[in-house]
Amino acid sequence: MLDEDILVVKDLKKYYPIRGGLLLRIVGYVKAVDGVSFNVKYRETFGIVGESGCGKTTLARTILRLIEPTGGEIYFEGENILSYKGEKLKDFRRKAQIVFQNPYMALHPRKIVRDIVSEPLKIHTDLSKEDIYDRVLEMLEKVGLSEEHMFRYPHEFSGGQRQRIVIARALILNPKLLVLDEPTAALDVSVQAKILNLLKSLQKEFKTTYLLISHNLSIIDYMCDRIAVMYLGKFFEIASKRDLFKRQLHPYTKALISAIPLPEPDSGRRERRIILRGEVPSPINPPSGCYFSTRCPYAQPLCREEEPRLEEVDEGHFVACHYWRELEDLG
Amino acid sequence: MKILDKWLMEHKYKIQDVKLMMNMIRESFLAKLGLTIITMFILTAIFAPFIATQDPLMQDLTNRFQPPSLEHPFGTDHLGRDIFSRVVYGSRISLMMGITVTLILFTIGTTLGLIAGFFGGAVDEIIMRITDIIMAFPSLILAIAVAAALGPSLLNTMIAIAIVGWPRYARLARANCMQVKNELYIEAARAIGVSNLRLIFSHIFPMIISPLIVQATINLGGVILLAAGLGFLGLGAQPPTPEWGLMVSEGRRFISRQWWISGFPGLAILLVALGFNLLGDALRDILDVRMRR
Amino acid sequence: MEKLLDVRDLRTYFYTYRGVVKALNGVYLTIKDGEVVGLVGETGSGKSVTARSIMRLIDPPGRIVGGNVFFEGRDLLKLSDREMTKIRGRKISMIFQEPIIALNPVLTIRTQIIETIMANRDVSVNEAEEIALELLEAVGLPNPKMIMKRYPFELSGGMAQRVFIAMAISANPRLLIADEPTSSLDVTIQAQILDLLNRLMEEGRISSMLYITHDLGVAAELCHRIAVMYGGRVIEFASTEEIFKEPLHPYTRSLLKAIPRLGYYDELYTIPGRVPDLVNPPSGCMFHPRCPYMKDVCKKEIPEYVEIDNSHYVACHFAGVKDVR
Ligand SMILES: Nc1ncnc2c1ncn2[C@@H]1O[C@H](COP(=O)(O)OP(=O)(O)OP(=O)(O)O)[C@@H](O)[C@H]1O
Ligand SMILES: Nc1ncnc2c1ncn2[C@@H]1O[C@H](COP(=O)(O)OP(=O)(O)OP(=O)(O)O)[C@@H](O)[C@H]1O
Ligand SMILES: [Mg+2]
Ligand SMILES: [Mg+2]
Repeated sequence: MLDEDILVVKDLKKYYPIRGGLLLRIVGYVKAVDGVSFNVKYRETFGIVGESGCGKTTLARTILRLIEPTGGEIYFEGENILSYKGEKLKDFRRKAQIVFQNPYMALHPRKIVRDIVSEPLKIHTDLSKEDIYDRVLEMLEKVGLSEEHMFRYPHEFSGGQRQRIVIARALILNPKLLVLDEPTAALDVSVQAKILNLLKSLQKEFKTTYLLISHNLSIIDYMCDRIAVMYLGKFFEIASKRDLFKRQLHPYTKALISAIPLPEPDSGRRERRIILRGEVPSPINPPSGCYFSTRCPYAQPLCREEEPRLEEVDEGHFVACHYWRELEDLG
Repeated sequence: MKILDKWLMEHKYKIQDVKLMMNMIRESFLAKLGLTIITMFILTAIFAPFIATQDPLMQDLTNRFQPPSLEHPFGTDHLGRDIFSRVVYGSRISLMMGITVTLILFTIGTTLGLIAGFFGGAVDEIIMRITDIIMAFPSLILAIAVAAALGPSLLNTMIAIAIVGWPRYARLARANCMQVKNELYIEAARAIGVSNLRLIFSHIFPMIISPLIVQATINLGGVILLAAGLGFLGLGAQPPTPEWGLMVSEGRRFISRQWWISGFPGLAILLVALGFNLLGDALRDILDVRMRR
Repeated sequence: MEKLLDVRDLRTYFYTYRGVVKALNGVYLTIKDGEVVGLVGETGSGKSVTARSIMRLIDPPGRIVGGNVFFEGRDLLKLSDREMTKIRGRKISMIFQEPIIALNPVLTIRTQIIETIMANRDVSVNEAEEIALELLEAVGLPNPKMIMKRYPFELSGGMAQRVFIAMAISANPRLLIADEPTSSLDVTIQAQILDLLNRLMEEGRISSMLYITHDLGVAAELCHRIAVMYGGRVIEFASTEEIFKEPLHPYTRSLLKAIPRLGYYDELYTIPGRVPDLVNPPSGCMFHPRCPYMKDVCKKEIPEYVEIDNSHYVACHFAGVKDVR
């Protein structure tokens, strides 16, 4: 089993300390990622969906070792990357890449596109200058830019074009895993369509594994094979896309899917929509028991006392809810 | 043709910057003044042998204390040396010293500041405490102390000024570095495997260089002033070197009647310090405009 | 139904150092009494400028250079500043995308809401306080008394937006202009706010609304009619039904095909090219460089904004000619 998985994450935790008082002592923790376990198979697109502040970006950063986790294990191609140092870490960076949420901030403002996109080649290969130039040009053409763009600075590009540059830089070394942290959140609908199409066709060409993070379920649905639903640093449900849209077991997943406004008038969804009470609790002092219990329309006393474990209830379908069976019978 | 096009594209902004700089200098009187002074200063230093009317060290005891005249535009001193030629040659010493010391200051200060800002923690603590100690003293006093301890010479003057001056660059570099290192594009660079060294010097440094250059330009005047101060106190260049501070000091005894002996080298010091200050201010304005683009 | 708002040929330009940004190039828009009109379009298409022009909130370097904004029969652009101040807040009020920024950070919610109420209604402080509590309750805030004591930064985005809505409806305005009020909120919170707006409409607390959004899904759920903007013009305006089922403008059609929808996995349709530069806009129809049906006339003549079918307005040379597509 293990060798179909490119990435295995076990009980990953990342707590940010909160300092306060005169001496800046640690007065508490933001539990941004709080015990997350999942695996990503080769060449699939694994989606993580969740609302803002639930820890998606933190999870992405931790997986790529841009920040150190508080606890847990991360295996990439069977090896524990948390023990990596020096050359090994550098080699890992070659194999796992990231595209950030905000293309306006992810490019060095004083470097021209050629230098930005060629940097991975300069660091990880010893190609000649001419070879590097050719590779960069080839990659830029793949993402829909051309030679004339090579000598421009990032501020001369639109958001969509910048995201293309970021993607070109991420894919130029042909990484095995590409983490996409809300790659289109800052872009317009028509530009978003172009980037999503591009990502899909590049995945076919390079056979890359994608880990796609988004708060937009329509995008997750469009892009992904399997989906994890995240809430307050925890995964509530993991399932294949087909399962998840057919049969949501967790009440939060249900509410989330029903909340998407569809571009179809009179779909009657408004009437059937589950409106959640209140707002997402603070990750500094999450509720006791199930983190969703404060907003869950079906919460029982048990939910406030005991935290449900994420368990596999059907093949490949995981859910963390005490009453998923009862809820399913309820319809 | 194609190569030229590429070059033009790649350097478009540098060319624009130069144009912008020219425009701004053209529009501001003070900037023009500063630029004129500094250009003249540098040209004088380069072409000193052609400008000087005689050997700056040549004594002519029969011609002592000559007031300014056609033959000796700035007069002669107590040893009958031509002050004009001495001032002209003195520009070489000042320029050489100013540039060398500023380069040293810039390099040491910026490197330490970047390291402190980037790594933080204990390294940062140590470097910052050292800068605190140095900056607690007035710079001239500290420079005097260091120069006195090392013994008077031109080289020791430079060392003394360098020791006194680097903390300012270090603090500026550190503060900017701490800001820049949290930017997303720096994290993005880390994600593609850029080493710390490369991150500091190829990614962060270009972002923080502008204020440092302004600082260096303004500081050049200060360095020259400080060197002259040490020379004046006899802790810097030694006679018969035509160093401006030393010349002012030598003429001090005769100031009431032969004012030109101290007066002209003094004026040179003043002009050059002023020139660098004006130029630095103009540069700051220009870089501000560029930042806003 | 009668026209509450009738915007005709509205033009707003910004005189910047880059040149004149022609942000609005002849906007036509009508809102009937009791109606919710959606204004959709991509970034920079002029949605916010339209809203701000209606409210006469355009600051230099911007200027409204032409057109009419008829509200209850009067042209707002011809009113004096004093008369306009009376319209704002009382007859037309507005809510924004970033409610926390739009509130004053150093004043408590109580101060701000009471100030708003007293500015627009003839009531005492005590009465205003009562109205405030009732309004906060009406927008679904639990424990209004506690909320009143708080400062804006102590509220979450969703709560702040509710407070803002409460303030906006406090004077029972005839028209509420909502500029992307849920774009910075989460899906489940957005659902709450949309639900709230619907409820307030049903309760009659909001009578008519201009709802600006770039999310076609939100527009579909909330609006009776939808106006689509492109390059500073409304290029299509029709009932929600027709916009989604029978869009006439090529831009509207493209836009609809570009959004990912649940259960749809084919390649998304993309619109070639980029949004027009409003300093040097393309000649003729603004959309012509990106339009799949472009003909010569599109490059030369600006298409007029005309009624094609019953109440279906389009600005396209070939909107009436069905077989072009
Ligand atoms: N460097 C940090 N220090 C302290 N807290 C942090 C830090 N970064 C993030 N957090 C907190 O951790 C939580 C998760 O943040 P994260 O950015 O991972 O969320 P996200 O799911 O990516 O949200 P969004 O959708 O807004 O991008 C938030 O409560 C955030 O405030
Ligand atoms: N103060 C201003 N100065 C100059 N140009 C402006 C100004 N305000 C708006 N514009 C320009 O007017 C055009 C329309 O802007 P507007 O804010 O109405 O877009 P929008 O449709 O609301 O977009 P978004 O979805 O991003 O809010 C843009 O091209 C913008 O650059
Ligand atoms: Mg994020
Ligand atoms: Mg707007």
